[in-house]
Amino acid sequence: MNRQRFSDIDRPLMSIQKLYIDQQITDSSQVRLIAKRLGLKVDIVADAQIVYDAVSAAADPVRQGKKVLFLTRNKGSFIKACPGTREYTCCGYEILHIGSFCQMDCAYCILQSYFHPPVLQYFVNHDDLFEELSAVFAEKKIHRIGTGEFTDSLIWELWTDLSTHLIPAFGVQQHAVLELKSKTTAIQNLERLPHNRKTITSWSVNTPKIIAEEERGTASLTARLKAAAKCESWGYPLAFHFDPIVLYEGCEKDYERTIKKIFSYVSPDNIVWISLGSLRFMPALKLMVEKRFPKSKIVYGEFITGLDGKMRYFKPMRMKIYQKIIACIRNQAPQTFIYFCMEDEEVWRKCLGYTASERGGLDHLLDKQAIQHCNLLNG
Amino acid sequence: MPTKDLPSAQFKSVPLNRIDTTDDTFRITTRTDVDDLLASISHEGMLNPPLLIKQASAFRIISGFRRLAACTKLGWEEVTARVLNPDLSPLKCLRFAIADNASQRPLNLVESSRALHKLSIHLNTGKRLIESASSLGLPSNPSVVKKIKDLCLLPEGIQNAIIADTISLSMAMDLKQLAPQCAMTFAQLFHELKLSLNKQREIVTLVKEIARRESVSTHRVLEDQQLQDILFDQDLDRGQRARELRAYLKQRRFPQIVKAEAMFEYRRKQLNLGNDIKLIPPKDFEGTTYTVNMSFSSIAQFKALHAKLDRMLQHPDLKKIID
Repeated sequence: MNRQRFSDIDRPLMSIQKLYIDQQITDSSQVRLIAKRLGLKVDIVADAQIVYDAVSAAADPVRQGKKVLFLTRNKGSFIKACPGTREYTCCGYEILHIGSFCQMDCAYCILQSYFHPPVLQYFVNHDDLFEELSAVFAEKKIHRIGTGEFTDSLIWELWTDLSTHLIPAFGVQQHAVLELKSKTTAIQNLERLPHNRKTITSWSVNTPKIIAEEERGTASLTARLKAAAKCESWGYPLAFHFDPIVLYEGCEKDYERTIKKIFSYVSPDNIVWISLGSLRFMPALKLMVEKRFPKSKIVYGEFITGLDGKMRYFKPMRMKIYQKIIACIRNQAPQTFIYFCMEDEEVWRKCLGYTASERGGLDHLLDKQAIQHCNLLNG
Repeated sequence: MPTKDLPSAQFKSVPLNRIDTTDDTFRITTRTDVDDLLASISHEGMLNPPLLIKQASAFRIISGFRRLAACTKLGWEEVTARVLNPDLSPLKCLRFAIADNASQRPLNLVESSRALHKLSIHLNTGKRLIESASSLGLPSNPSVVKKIKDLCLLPEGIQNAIIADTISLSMAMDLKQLAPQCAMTFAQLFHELKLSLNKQREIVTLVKEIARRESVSTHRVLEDQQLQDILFDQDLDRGQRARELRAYLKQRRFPQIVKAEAMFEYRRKQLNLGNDIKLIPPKDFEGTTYTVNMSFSSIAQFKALHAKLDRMLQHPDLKKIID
């Protein structure tokens, strides 16, 4: 069924094998739609713990968590601040918490150790979601909101119609922009939606080697860029995220080729921003990667413990690859805005030639980009 | 219960050549030396007769392996032993063996492992094993049992290192995950260098990660000529060899970081700060704040340090360090 709806996903996502439904939301039309599309036997549960226990009992709970879908309510806020840390410059992005976890299986994925246990979970109380969004829109302040922090923004397109509601909702206001961040090509639902350039379609990009070896179940670089080009042709602004940048022998040339390839598919003028972030992870993730991906070498780089407690590449090594990537992007797209995800002022100054705080802060710089590319009104 | 069955044992004089000393089915002890027993047995006789069971053509030892070896060494031809009913189950015999050993001394880790492993052959690893272990005074916490039960299957060198306390249970568990040859090499290395558990762990981690980074086997990293040269350098004492080994492994695992640290050290030396001023870089060079520590005990000394700091500020290497 998934393949029929999205035939150009060139590498299959892990398929859902079991559907759990929170007994409080069995009457929801969303639930009926998703259950019908999945065509799976349904288990109605009174307590989420039943789902968590079933996932935790598996030999590989992380893998198991990708094979079950739990439809439930979001009992907390739908909109949350991005969990940045004060030691490094944060982008001030807000998260629209539509669901959690992901069907793809990237070796470095922080979600593996972020949730205990990780479960593919989708929130169906969209009345609450849109009520919160309305309150945000009513503030008439610039907001940059994304769905790609606790999950991939587009995996849900396979069984839900979320984008067909979300994108038009952003399209009818002028103060907030939605960023859909993905490693898939599930864009078909986006065609002909009245986005009014208030939705940025963005892709995490990496070298073909890292995609092939570390990002299991994701679309290839070419497929992602074809999807980006298609979204551009539908009028959507674009963004790209080089995150995580992984160091390996020959990576500089590979990242250069990746950058050139991006600009062979899309126009620099339509790119709202490009972010750069090197591989970083909480120490606990190392054991998880060693156990789940014994052939992966990504955790054996020259890491130090960063000021936020995460493992990061030794700073001179990070700066060296950033400088190469920035030079290459500048060569292809001199005007495109580049920023760092969670780096300090030294890195900004030595790699970009200025610090975000010198120019009003990263929030301000990103807001300016959103205003310029997405025609937002400030105030 | 042992007290129920043991009375059926009969004291008999048994020719030593009819006792199968090669059968280790019920051997719990890890000791093979007998010198400490020779004088006692020779002068006082066999006060605590070994426990045997009659087999088809020979006697099998239940307990008393060392006592019987001592008798053989003393040239005895026969010995008084307690001989059990041949119909007694192997599990009962094993319980006698464990109880007899445990009643004489605290069992070491490998002996406990042997006892638990042999019990598990009859009782698997469930509740019955735990109950049996508890009644025999063996470790009975399920997680501890799980950890130590198979230590006796490790290569002999590692078992010896555990008995000698050169490696801990925790390290033995780590080595259990490795190929036997590698585990042995580590055990020998730790025996030779007498390292703390933290340093042992550091070395195992470095070697394993170097192997993965370089796509070679762990064994190949350990067999590396430069590493071997450090280990067998007769000009270095044990502590020096341990330091050199760790430095070598760290350099191979983190070449850029070690290079940067060496460069910082070189430049710090160029500043000629002496012992009274310490320039401390940010941890791992990640932050941007450098620290200067000064120690002085008089105004005159403070003035001298002040002058030194002024010279440091003008020094081109300071700029290179900070930038």
